[in-house]
Amino acid sequence: QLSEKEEKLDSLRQVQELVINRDPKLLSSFLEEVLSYQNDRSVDVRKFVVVFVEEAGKKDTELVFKLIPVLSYMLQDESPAVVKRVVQACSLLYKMGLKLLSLQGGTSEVLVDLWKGLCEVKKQVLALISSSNDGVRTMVIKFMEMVILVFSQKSELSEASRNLEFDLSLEMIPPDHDILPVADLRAECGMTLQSLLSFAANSTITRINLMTCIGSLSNIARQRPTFMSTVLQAFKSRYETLPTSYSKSHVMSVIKSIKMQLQFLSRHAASAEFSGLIAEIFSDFAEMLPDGEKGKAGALKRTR
Amino acid sequence: LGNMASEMKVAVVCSSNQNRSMEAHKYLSKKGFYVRSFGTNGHVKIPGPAANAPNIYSFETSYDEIYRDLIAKDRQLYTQNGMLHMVERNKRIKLKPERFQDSEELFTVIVTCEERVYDQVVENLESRSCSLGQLVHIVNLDIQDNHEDATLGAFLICDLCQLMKEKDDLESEIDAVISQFEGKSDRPVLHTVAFY
Repeated sequence: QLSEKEEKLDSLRQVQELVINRDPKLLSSFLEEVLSYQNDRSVDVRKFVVVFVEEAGKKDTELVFKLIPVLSYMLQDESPAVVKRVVQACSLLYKMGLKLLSLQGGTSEVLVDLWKGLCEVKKQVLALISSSNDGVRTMVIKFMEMVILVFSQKSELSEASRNLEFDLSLEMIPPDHDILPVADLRAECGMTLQSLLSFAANSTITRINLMTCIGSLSNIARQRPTFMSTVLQAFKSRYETLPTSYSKSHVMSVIKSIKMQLQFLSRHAASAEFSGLIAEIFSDFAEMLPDGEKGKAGALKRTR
Repeated sequence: LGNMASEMKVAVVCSSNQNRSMEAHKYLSKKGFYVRSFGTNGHVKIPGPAANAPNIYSFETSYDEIYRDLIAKDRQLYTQNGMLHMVERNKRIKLKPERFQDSEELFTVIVTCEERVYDQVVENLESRSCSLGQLVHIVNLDIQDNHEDATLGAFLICDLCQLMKEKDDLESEIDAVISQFEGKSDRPVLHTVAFY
C-alpha cells in the first residue's frame, strides 16, 4: 500500500517521464497541473515541483517567462530543504532568463516583466545569505558566484566556462540593450564580489560555507583572471585567521582545500605575476601541516 | 531527474578498485546502501611475485579475466597471498573495475581511501563541466592497502555513511557528523564539497 505522498510522487514521475523525456511538446499543457502541487503538504512533492520547473526550463527556454515568478513564490517556502533546491534552480534559470533577454531587442511588456522578475528573484536569493540554514547559504554562495561570472567580462586568459551549455558573460550583452543596464550590471558584479569576500572573511562562518566560498572564489579567479589578485589575497588572509571554533581536523580540511585550489590557480597563466605571493603561501602551509605533509607541500612549491 | 527521492548515493574510491573500495562496496551493499565503487589509477595493479613486479591490467579487464590470468601465472602464489580470493569476491559483486574519472553518475557522498585518491577525485570534479549546481560531499579516510585494514575500513566507512544517512539536513550537520565519527574511530578525516 503506497502512502498518499508516494502515490502523488508516482504520478508526477509519470507526467515527468512523458512530457520531459518523451514528448516535450506537451510540456506547457502539463505545466499548470504540476505547478498546482507547489503548496503540497509533503516536502518531497514540493521539491519534485522545483526539479520539474528546472527541467522544463532546460527543455523549453521560452517557458522561462512563466517559470521565474514560480521560483520567486517557491523561495518563500517554509522548508529549508525546498528553499535550498529552489536557490539551486534559480542559479540556472536566472542565467537562462538573462541570456534570453540579452538576445532580444525592444521594450515589449513581456521582456520588461521578465527583467523585473529576474531582479526580484535575485534580490530574494541574495537576502537568503543571512538564512539560519547552512545548506541554504551554501546554495546562495553558488548563486553569487553565478552573478559575478555573468556580470563580468571574459578576458584572453579566462578558463573556459564550466557550464558551456548555458554560458553567459557581460560582453555577450549588447552595451546599448533596450532593457539591460550594462553599466549597472558591472557595478553589481563588484558589489556581489565584495559581499562574497566579506562573507568568506567572517569570523563565524561555518566550515561548509567556507569550503564553498573557497571553491567559488577559485572558479571566479580562473574564469575572470582580473580578480586573481583579489582572490589570492583573500586566501592568504583567510588561513591566517581561521575561526577559532573549528576543530583541529576541520582546520586541516580547510587548509588542504585552500592548498588544492591554490595549486589549480598556480597552473593558471594569469597567476604568473603573483608567483611570489603563491610561494609565500605554500611555504606557510609547509609550516602548518603535520610532518608527513611537509615533503609534499615543499615538492609542490618546487614544481612551480 | 528520476532520483528525486532523498536516497543517499555513495561512491567508494581507492586506486585500483580491487581491495579497499570493493570490500566497502560489498559491506555497504549488504547493509542496504546504494553504493558504487571506483579506482582512480591509470591502470589496475595487483601485487605480483615481487614488490617491483606487479600485475598490470587495464580497467577494461574483467575480474574474471584477471582471475584466470592469475591462476595461469601462479595459482599457488596467488592463493597464498589472498589475491585469488579477493578477485573471486570482486567477480561476485560486478563485472569489472571502473575508473572514477569515467563515471558520470551523481553521488551524494564520495568516500576515498587515501589522500592521493581524495586529491584526484577533487581535481577531477573541478575539471568537469558543472551545470547542475548539485552538491557532493567528498570524505577521505586513510585505509592501508591490505586485507585486514580493508576489512576494518569497510566497517568504518559504513559507520560514517550510517551517521550521514541519519541526518535530515546533512549540510548543516556535516561538521558534527565528522567530529562524532573521528571521536569514535580515532581516525582523522578530510572533508570538502564540490558541485556537479
